[in-house]
Formats: sequence, structure tokens, C-alpha cells
Amino acid sequence: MIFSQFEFLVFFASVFVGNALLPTLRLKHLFLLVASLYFYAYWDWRFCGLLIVSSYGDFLVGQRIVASQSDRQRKHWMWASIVLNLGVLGYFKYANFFIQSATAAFQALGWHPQTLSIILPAGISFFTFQKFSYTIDLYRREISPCKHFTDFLLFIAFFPQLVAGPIVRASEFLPQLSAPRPITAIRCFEGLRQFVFGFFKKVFIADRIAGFVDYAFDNAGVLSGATLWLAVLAYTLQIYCDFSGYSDMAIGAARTMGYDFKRNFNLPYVATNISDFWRRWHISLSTWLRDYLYIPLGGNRCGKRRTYVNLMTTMLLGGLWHGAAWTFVFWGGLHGVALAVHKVWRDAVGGEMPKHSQALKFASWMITMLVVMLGWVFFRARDFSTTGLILSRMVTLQEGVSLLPPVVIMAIALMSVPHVVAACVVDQRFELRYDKLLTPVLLFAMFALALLFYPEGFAPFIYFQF
Amino acid sequence: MGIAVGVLWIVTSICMDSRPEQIFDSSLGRVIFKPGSARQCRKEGWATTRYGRYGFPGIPDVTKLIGPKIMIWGDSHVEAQEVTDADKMATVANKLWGERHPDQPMSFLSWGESGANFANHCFDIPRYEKVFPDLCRHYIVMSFTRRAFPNDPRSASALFRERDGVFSISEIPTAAPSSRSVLWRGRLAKAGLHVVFKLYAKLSRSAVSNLRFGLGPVKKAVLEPELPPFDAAYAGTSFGWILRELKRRTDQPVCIVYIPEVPRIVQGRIVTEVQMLDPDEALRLSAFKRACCSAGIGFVDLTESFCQAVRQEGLFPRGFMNTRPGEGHLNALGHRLVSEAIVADAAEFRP
Repeated sequence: MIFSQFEFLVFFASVFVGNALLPTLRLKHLFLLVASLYFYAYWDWRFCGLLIVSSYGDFLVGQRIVASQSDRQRKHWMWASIVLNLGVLGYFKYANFFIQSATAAFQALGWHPQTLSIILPAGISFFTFQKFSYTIDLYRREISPCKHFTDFLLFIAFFPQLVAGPIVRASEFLPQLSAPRPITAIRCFEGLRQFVFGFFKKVFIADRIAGFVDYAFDNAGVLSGATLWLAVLAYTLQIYCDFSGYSDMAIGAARTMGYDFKRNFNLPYVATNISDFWRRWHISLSTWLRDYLYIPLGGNRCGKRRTYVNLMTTMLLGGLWHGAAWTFVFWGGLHGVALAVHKVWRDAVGGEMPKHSQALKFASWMITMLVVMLGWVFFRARDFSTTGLILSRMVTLQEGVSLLPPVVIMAIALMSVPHVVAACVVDQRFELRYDKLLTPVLLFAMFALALLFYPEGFAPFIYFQF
Repeated sequence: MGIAVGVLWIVTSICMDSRPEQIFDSSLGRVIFKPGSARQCRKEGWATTRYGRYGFPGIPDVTKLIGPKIMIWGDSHVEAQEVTDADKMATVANKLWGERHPDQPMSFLSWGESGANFANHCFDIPRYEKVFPDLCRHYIVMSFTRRAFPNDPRSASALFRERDGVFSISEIPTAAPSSRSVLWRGRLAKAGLHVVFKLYAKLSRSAVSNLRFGLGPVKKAVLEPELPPFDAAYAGTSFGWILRELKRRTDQPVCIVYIPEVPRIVQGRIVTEVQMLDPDEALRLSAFKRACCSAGIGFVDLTESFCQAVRQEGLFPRGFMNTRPGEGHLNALGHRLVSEAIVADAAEFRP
């Protein structure tokens, strides 16, 4: 079930009403848990077992961590959980990747392994990272253990963030379980507002341009350079609207039920340097990687060379997290290099660039956008040869079949407006206040337009594949 | 809220497909698009079609056309809601004929219906000849050989069937729209309220019955192939039967104009041969050509002229800015190529 389906609207309305009417907290939690498991089973009921069993394993490990006498024992239990979860993730997500990558080596040994027929459980990358945050925070004594397994399972399986994030940390969510925010009219409005924004971005923008992007990347060999430039721009917009749209819907849905998730996107395409981009893009992942990978590796506290190694390691693994393909790893590496270069430059110029230099700011923004868009080509293309083909045709502005759909150009122009305004005027998210006349007008118009121009056929969220 | 509704009205009235009004024409004995009504197509192409007398698209009053008439039949490719009236094949053919043969008055008309097959043409041709006795030639634009093949699951309002070796054609009766339906469709269309039809479709019983609340995984429906694997004898017999039936229903010469699905972009390459897309279609096409020859029906194959357009000009005869090059219905170039072929062929067979 995806948030933009009519079935979800019926499901969510039912869950909202049920959650609001149930008298006790315990009943609410159980109700939300059952609803969340139904939400997951809607995709494939067989994997509910994996979710429950693996979560129970982490719950028990959490209890062992807390009960352990020595720090060494605590560490062992934490690593047991990490290894187990990585093993599950590795099997479902990366087994075939490793087999294919090592084919040459296997064949040299006389093996001819076949790839396995494995279904990738929806959301496994996301809920695995959430489980890590629980066990690692427990080990660090930053949180208290969860008393009831049902609460822990609800933390993992809570439907708004289950299959495509945001990656919610135990330290943020578990305290809310014992004391959720009261469901007020203003909270409901704020949640619905964010949901409608997300719905509009996903359905009206992302889904409308998806067909063009898919076609262009599949047939790059005959399309003109200009068409491919438009396709890359369109994908830059599509992935943002698709993913941030989903996040907005998840955050909005949770908010109406009394649970607050942190913002996951903050207009990343206004960033004027790559570090800033990563402070605005998929914030829950970038902060997770910082806190649970980059900093434990040493962060920037072990000298310059080690800092760059830590950066690259974090970004390469971050790329691999996205998908089982070398193009994703390369994408991560590209961003790692960009971050390292930015660090070198920043150290060389001694801090931030001059505040009043608009030309420098614009140039910096252009460079950042070019790097990000270059990365998206690797991220989206099927393989390196397709990436090379696309980039070469773009750079040389190769002639070919021209396809410049007006709706794509209009979508890019439409979404440029809030970015330009945010970059030039106020660098913060737009908010429609509940007491302004424009608010219901705009929200109704956005929702209705998205509904009326709903694309035919199923259009899943891009990040579902991760 | 009024502002929001106003904005929605403006956007949907400009950017959404509209449904044309339909009435029953007793002289033709069929449902036609109401003369004076208009239809806008935005999903594929960007055009508005205006219907004239007898429901002909792009021709305000067919009775005012001079000279004998040539009819172009077909499916949605001839219905051509995606192109403007000026670019439709009949309009272009009239223009070309006027330029090349100013001393030989001739008029071209077109009639297409989505999903129409050869069974439809068998019923429609005598109907129109009765109303327009000066119809002197018929061209049938064929987009797929399945339009002339029995048991096509995508048939529109007439069926060509084969059962136990016996062929037959039958018409599916279409109820005349009620006067209330005509009245309200007209009012909604004039007010630009196409959104009402869209909402109706979204909330209709079939749309609601397609909702799923059961647990996954959902088994993918195994689709039956649309046509059986190619059988040369069966194809020859089937095509021969329908073409003879067609010839039996009119004394006027008939010519088939084949518009291929190529050129097309497939996996990063421009494909110009039908057998690369669908080997069975290429085999059926050969069988159909032979059947046309045996039945004394003309056949014009536009494969070469379609492919030449992409080789020489880099342009595809199908596809629009809001779809994909080489896919979907004929665009203005495609209509022009068809018109040129028809005009050239008609010039050789002037009555």
C-alpha cells in the first residue's frame, strides 16, 4: 500500500478514528501495531514473520545489553545484534550482488554459482537501521530499554515510516510512545497540511515526469543531448519530489496521530555547497550515518588523512545502502570525494565564503547542483555503460531524437519557484498557517489537482526499492 | 473555496480531455458525435476536434463538398482526436487534391472509431453509401492486422468471429443516448466542466470494485495472448473471408492502407522492421497482402515512407510531445504521409 493510493486514504481514516477513540494508551498502541502489521502484510504477509522475529531478537538483545554486568559483555551483545541484522540485510539485499560481483573469481575457482531467487523485503534497509539505533543507543546508555515487546515492535513497524523512512531513532520515538502529543485540531491540520504537500509533490509532480525519465534513461542511445539534459534535470526533480513527498506524507500522517518525526528534507537544492546539501537531503539517513558510522570511525578527530578516509568509507557504505549495485557505490564515492574536496577548500579559505558575494554564491550553487546531478546519473542509470553513454551525449550535445515534453519543463519551472524564493529571500520551509484564507484554498486545489491528474497504473515510490 | 474551485475549473477545462456529445442519427442508423460539438484531447497530443454534419470530424457540412466523395475508414488512428482538424488525413487529402488536381473535383471524408475492425467497415460502408450515393471509393487505414483477424479481444461495436471453422460478423447494438444525457453532456461540455466526467469515471462502480484491501502478495494475472501463434493457412482463410465479405457489401473499389508500428525506439535503437517488433505481425501482414491480391482489393504499405521520414528528417509519424516518439497514434506527419499515399492512389483511379 502506498500513501497515494485510494486504499491508503480509507485505511488511514480508519486508523485515525480508531486511534482517537480508543480510551487507553495500551489499547492505542496495540491498535496501531495491528494496523501497521496489516499495512506491511498488504505488500506481502509472508514477511511479517521476518519483521516480528528479527525485532524480537533485537528486543531480547536489548534486554541482555541492559542486564550485562561488564562493558565487554554489553559490547558483545551489541555486536551480536549488528552482525545478525547485517546478516539478514546482506542475505536479502546483497547476496546476488556479491555473487555477480565475484563471478569472475568464482569461475576461476571452477564454480558457476547461480544467482538466488530472493524477494527483497520492503523497507528492510530502513528498519534495520532503526534497530541499530536502538541497540547502539542502549549500549551507549543514551536510552532506557523498551519494557514491552509490543511497544518495541510498534517503534519498528509503525506504518508511516516503515517502508521508506524517515529513519526514526529509538531516542526520538520511544519517549513519545509513553507520552504521545494530544491530538488537537491544530496538530491534525498541520499533519494534513504536510500530507497534502507530500501528496502533491509525489502525484502531481514526480509521477507525471517519471514516464519521461524512464524512457529517456532506457533509450539514451538515440536521444539528443538536450533531451538527456532535460531528463537528468527531470530526474533531479523527480527523486526529490518522490522521496520528500513520501517523507512529508509519513511525517504528516504520524503527526495527526500524536507522533512527531523530524524533518527529512530541507530544500536540498538551495544548498550552495555539498556539505550543506547533505544537511538538507535525507536528513535522517545523513545524521544516522554521522552518528553511528562516521563518528565511531573517528570522525574528524584523527587527523586530516583519517578524516577523509572516514568520509569516504561513510559515503561509500551510504551508497551501498541505497542499492546492491556498483553504480550506487560510485554515487556514494562521488559524494564522498565532493565532501572531501569541499573540506579541503574550506580549510584553505579559512571558513565560509564572503557573505555579500552573490556571484560567488551563485557559482557555488551551480557547482553543487552539477555535482549532485552528475551523481544522479549514476544513481539512476542501469549500469556504468549507460551512465557513460548519457554523460557523453550530454557533454557533446549529441544530435538525436528530440523529446522535450512541455509538462516536464513546466514541472521544473513550478518547483523552481519555491527554491528560488527560499534561496533569495528566506531560507526556511514554506508554511501555510491555519488561520490564513489562502491555506484551505491552496491545500484543496493541490489535493484536487493531484487527484484529478492521478497517473494511470501503479507508480511506486522510488525509495521502496531500497 | 470559490477561488480554489475556480482555479480547478480553469486548469481542468484547459488541460483535461473532454467527452463529446453524442446523438442518434436516423439517416445513418447509428450514434454519431453531435454536429457542432467539440472534443479536446490533452492526454495525447493537444488538439480540439469539431464535429460537423453527420458527425464528421473537421468537416462542418459534408453536403457542401463538391465532387464525388472518397471515404477513409479506420479505428482511433482515423478518429484522430489527437491532431487538429487541419492536420487530419481527410482535411490534408482535400488540400492536396485541390492543389494537384484543381480541375478534378473530389472530396475526402473520414470516419474512425476506437477499436473499429473490418466487421465495423462491413456494416458501415453500405450505410454511408445509402446516405452519400456519390461515394466512389473506400480506403481502410489498418494499423494492425488483428483488425482484420477473427476473435480480436479489442473489438469495438462489431465482431468478426470464427467458431469451429465458421466465420461470421455481427454488430453490437448501441443504445441511443437519452435526451437527458445529451442535454447534460452538452451543458457540461459548454461550461468546460470535463472534470465531472473524470470524477464520475474515478468514482464509478468498476473503479471502486478494483480496489484491493486483501493481503499481498498479489498474483500477477496471466494474460492470454491477444492472437494465436501464426498459422499461415488459418490466416489466409480468415483474411480471405473478411475481404470477400467486405467486397460483397459495396460495388465501389476498396483499398487498404497499412500503417506500421515502425519506426519505433526500442531499448535505445530505432527499429524499422515490423518483424523485429512482432514476427507474427510481419507474417500476418504478408498473408493479408496475398489475400488482398486474391480478393481484388488494393493494398498500400506505408512502412517504407514511415521509415524514410525518420531516416531523412529524424521525425516519427507517431507520437507527440506529451507521449513518446514512435508510439501511440499518428501525429500531423503521420496523417500527411497517409494523405499523400491516398491522394496518389486515388489519382490513378479517378471515376
